[in-house]
Amino acid sequence: MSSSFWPLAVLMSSALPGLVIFFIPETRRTLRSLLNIGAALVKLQLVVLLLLGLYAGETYHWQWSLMPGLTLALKVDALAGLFLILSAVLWLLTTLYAIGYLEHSPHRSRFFGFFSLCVSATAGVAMSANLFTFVIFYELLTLATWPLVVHRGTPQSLAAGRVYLRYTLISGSVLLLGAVILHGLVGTPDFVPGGYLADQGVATVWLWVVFVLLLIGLGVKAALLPLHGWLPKAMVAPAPVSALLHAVAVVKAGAFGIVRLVFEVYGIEFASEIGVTDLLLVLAAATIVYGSWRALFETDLKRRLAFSTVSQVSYVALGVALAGPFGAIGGLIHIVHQGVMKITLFLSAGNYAETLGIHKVSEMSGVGQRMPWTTAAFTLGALGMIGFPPLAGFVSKWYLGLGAWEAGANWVLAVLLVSGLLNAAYFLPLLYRAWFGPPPPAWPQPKTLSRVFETHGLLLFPPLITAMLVVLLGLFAGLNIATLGWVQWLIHREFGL
Amino acid sequence: MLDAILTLLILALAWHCVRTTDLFEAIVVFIALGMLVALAWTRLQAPDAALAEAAIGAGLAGALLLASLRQMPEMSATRAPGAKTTGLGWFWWGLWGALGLALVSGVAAIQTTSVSLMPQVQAHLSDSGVTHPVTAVLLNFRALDTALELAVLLWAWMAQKQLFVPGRQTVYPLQGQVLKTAVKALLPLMVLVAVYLLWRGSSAPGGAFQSGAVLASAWLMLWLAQLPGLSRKQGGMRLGIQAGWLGGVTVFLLVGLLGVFQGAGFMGYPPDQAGAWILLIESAAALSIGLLLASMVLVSMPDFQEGTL
Amino acid sequence: MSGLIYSLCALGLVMIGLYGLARAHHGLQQLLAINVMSAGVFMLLLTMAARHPPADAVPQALVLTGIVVAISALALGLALLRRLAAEEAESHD
Repeated sequence: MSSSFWPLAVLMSSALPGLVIFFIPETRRTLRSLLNIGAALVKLQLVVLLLLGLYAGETYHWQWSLMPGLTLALKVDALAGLFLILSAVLWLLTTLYAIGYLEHSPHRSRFFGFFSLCVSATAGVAMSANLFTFVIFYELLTLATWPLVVHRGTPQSLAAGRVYLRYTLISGSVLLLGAVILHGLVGTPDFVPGGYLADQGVATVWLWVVFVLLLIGLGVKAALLPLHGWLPKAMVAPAPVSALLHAVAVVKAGAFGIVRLVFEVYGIEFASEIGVTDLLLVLAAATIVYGSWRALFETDLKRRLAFSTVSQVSYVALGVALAGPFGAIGGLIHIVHQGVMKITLFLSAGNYAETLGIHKVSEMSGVGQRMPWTTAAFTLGALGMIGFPPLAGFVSKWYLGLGAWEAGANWVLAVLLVSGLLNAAYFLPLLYRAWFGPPPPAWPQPKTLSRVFETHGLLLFPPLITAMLVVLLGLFAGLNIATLGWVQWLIHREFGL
Repeated sequence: MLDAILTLLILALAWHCVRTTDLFEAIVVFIALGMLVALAWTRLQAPDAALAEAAIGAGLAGALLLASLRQMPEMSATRAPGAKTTGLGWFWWGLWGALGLALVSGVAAIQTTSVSLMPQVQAHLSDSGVTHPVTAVLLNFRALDTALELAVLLWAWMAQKQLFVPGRQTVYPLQGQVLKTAVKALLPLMVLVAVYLLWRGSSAPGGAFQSGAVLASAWLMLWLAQLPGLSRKQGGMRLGIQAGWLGGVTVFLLVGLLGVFQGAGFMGYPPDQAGAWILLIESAAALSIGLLLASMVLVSMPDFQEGTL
Repeated sequence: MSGLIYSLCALGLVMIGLYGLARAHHGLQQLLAINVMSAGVFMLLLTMAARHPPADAVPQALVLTGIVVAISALALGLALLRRLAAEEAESHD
C-alpha cells in the first residue's frame, strides 16, 4: 500500500505548485521562481528515488475506481520512468531558462502556472496505467499547452493556437472514440507488457479500426505525416515553450502513446502478426524523409528545427514498428536522446533570437565569434542529430539500423541513410556559416543581457548543460544508469529475453 | 396513442426550431419544446426529470435565451442576399447519414440487451438514508457525479462572470406597486415550496435540483420588482452571496472527506448517519443551485449593472 | 410499444439537432440545436430506464445531472455570444 502513494506524489509535485503560482502576484518574481525551482527539484528527486526503487524491484501502482470497469490507474514502470526522468530533468532546465527569458514580459504567473500544469499532464501521460487514464491526461495536456502556445497574444499566435486546438481537439475525440470502441470490445484493463489483445477473439477488422483511430489520435501530437501541420505553425510560441513542446511534452506524449499502444495494448508480436506495425512503419519512414526534406528549404531557424522534429520524432515510431528488440531499443532511447538534443537546439536558437535578434538561417553568419558558448552547444546538438559518434544521436541511430537489419527491412536502412544525409545537409552548412562565415556589420537587434557572459546567465547555462548531456549520454551509453542500459533492461523484460 | 401524438409534436417542434430563421420564433418554439419534453418524461415514469426540465430546461433556459437575444445584433441568421443558397454540402450529409445509421444500429442493439441497475439500487436503498431511489443515487451511490456537476455549474458561472461587459443600453425594468406587493406576498410561498420540495426529495420525486430552480425564480422575481435581493452593494450580502456560490461544492466535498476518516471511503457515509448528511448537502446544494442559476440569468439581462453581483 | 416510439423520437431529436447544428448561421441557432440534441440523449436514457417497472433510477439521476450541466453550458454559450456581440458593436464604433 505504501508504494501506491508515490505516483500521486509525482503528479502533485508539479500540479500543486502550478495551481499556487496562478495566484502569486505578477511582481513577486523571487517567490514565484523559488517555488517553481523548488517544485522542479522535488519532482526530480522523487523521480530519481522511484527509478532506484524500480531498479530494486519495487512496483508502484495507484488506482481509484470511478465506476465498475473503469478505473483511474497510475503506475511507474520502466517505460514510464524513462519519460518521467526526461520530463523532470528538462522541466528544471527549461524553468531556469524561462525565468531568464521572460524577465520583463507580462503574464508570467499565468505562464509558469500553465507550464507546471503542462509538466504534470506529461507525468500523467507517462504514468497512465490504462487507456482511459491515458486519454484523460492526453486531453489535459492539450488544454494546458494551448495557453502557452498563444502566450504572446498576437494575432499570429492566436491563429497558431486555433490551428493547434483544431488539430489536437479533433484528434483527441478520435482517440476517445478508439478507446471507447476498444472498451466495448474487451474492456479497459491495465497496460501489460506483451499486450492484452491477443487471444481475445476480437475480429481483425475491429483491431485494425481501433488501431487506426488510436493512431490518428496519437499521430497528431507525434506529428506523423499527414497530421503534422500544426507543429511548424506552433513555432510562434516563446522559445522555452517550443523547447518543451518539441523535446518533452506534446510531441513526445504522442510518440510515447504509440509505444504504449504497440507494446502494452496490442503487444509487439500480435501487432506484427495482424500487420498494423507495417502501417506504422511506412508512415514513420515517410514522415522521416518528408520532415528532413522540408527542413532543408526552411529559411527560418525555428521552422527548420520544427521540421527536423517532425522527422526525428518518427524515429521512435519507426523503432517500435520494426517489431524487434534492437529496433525497440533504438526507438526508446531516441525518446530521451532526441529530447535532450532538440532542447539544446531550441534553447540555443532562443538565445540567438533574444540576444542578437537572429531569426533567419541567413542571419547566423559569424555568430560563433559573437556567442561562442551558445554556438558550441548548438553544434553539439546538431551533430548529435546527424548521428556523429560518440554523441547521443549516434547510439539511437545505431540501434535503429541494427533493428532494421534484424527485421530484414533493407529499405528502412535506406531511409535511415537518406535521412542522415538530409540531416547533414540542413545542419552542416548552418554550422559552417555560424563558425566561419563573416559576421555582419551590425546584428539585427543586439541587447546586452550580461556583463560577464555572452548572454544572460540563465539563458546560457541550460543549453550548455543539455549539450553536455548529449555528449555524456553518447559516451557512457553502456552504463546501467544511462539510457541504453536502462532501455536494454526494459526491452529484455518486454521480449522475455 | 397519446405517446404517438406527443412524440410527433415534439419532433415537429424540434424541426421547426432548427429550421426557422427567426431567432425569436426559434426560442419560443424551444421553450414549448421543453414543456412537451417534460410531459414526455412523466410518461416515461421520470417525474424528477420532468420537474427539473420544466423548471430549468424550459423556464430558466427560456429566460436566458430571451434576455440574451435582446443584446445580439439583429438577425444574422439569414444569409446575406446574393449568397449561394445551396444546402449542406455532400460531406455533411454523408456524416449525418453515417451517424444516423450508427445510432440506429446502436439503439437497436441496446433494445435487445436489458441491463437494469435497479436491483442493485433497491438492494442498498435501506442503507442509503433516503427512500426515494433517484435521490439515493444522486446523493449517495453516485454522489461524486453530483458533486462534480455542482462544480461544473460553479465553473460555468465563474466563466460567465469573467465574460461580462457592462451593456450600453438602459432598459428600465418593470416597476409598480402591484408587482412589488405581489412579489412580497408570493415570496414566502415560494420559499415554502422550495423547502417542501427539498424535504420531500428523501421519499418522493423532488430534491435539491427542483428546489434550487424554485429558489432561483424567487430571486429573479425579487430582482424584477427591484426589491433588495441579490445586491452586492450591501456589505453583508456580498459575503453571503459568495458563500452561497461556493457552498454547495464545499459542503459536498467536506462531507465527502469526512467519509474517508470514518472509513466509508471518499464520498461515502456510514448508513446510520446518511440521512442527516444527505439533508445537509441537499440544503447547501439547493441554495447554491438557486443562487448560481439566478446569477446566470441576472447577468444575461440587458440592463444588468456591474457590481450588483 | 411506447418504448419503441420514444426511442425513435430520441433518435429523431438527435438527428434534427445535428442537422440544425450543421446549417446554423447564428451562434444562438447552434446552441438551440445542441440543446435539441441533448433532449434526444436524455430521452433515450429515460426510455432505456423505463423498460422494466420500476423505472431504473440510475439513468434518471444521470438525466437530472445532465439537465443542470446542459443549462450551465447554455448559459456559458450565451455569455460568450453576448460578449462577442458587445465586442463587435465596439469595433463598429
